[in-house]
Amino acid sequence: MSNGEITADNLGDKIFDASKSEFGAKFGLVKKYLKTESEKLAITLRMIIEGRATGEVTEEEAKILLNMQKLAAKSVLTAAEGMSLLAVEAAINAALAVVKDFVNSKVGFPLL
Amino acid sequence: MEKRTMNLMIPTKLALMLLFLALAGCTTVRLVSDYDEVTDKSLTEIQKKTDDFMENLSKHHGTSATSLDSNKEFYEEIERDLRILSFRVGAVPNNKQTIELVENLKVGILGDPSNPTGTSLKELHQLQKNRDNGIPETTLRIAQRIINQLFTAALSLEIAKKRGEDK
Repeated sequence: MSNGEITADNLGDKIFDASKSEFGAKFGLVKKYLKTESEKLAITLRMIIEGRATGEVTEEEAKILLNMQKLAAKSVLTAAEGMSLLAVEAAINAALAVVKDFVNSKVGFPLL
Repeated sequence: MEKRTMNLMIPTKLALMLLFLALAGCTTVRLVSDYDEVTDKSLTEIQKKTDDFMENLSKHHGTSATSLDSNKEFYEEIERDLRILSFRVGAVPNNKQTIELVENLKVGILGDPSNPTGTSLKELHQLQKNRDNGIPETTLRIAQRIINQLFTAALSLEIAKKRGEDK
């Protein structure tokens, strides 16, 4: 029996490995996105504070900009939520592919 | 007692296995909508239009060309574009996050009637001191960064939906 062969005994491990690998790759992109965008949020917040301190940004403007900034933070998290769901989806599909291959090889024809 | 638990576990395991096999019968599971080219293109077009508008406000600050009255048309056009995009994303199944991201764009550019403080570029423009000569440079640059980040969020998710097959 080769190491790559899927058997009833190692099926659980194979499913786990396939899901983990897919999820890890996709979730890495989510983390990268979150890091870049969080840095942008921090810079913008600093610009609002500095603009207010120098008087270039009025109090009324600062209030609106802060509300806009909250909205941007919300959008970053919403996008990350969607990307995380895509990572979960990829993991589920990788696991299903393992089961499909196992079942089809056992029955000898493409049942699934 | 132990025997009864065992008896319950066997059908549960069997049911889970059958469920998994049934799921495997489906080609793939979709938790998020498919990539939509129309959404991608519309977001890119609206982003470009908005960015060009802000660049123009910056270039001509202090002149009547940047007054609120002179630019009413832009806000009306963006409102229409975003309304059309909202309909589009709302019609796509499993699209909750993109619907929310488009709504945030609307609130960030045009405002939210339920928030009297203001949440948008338009409301910065509507402030008494900015109505005639436009939004001052520093405030405008900050608003531009925020609005671009709103667009980036929506576009990043749409592109991620390509799922590797046609990236």
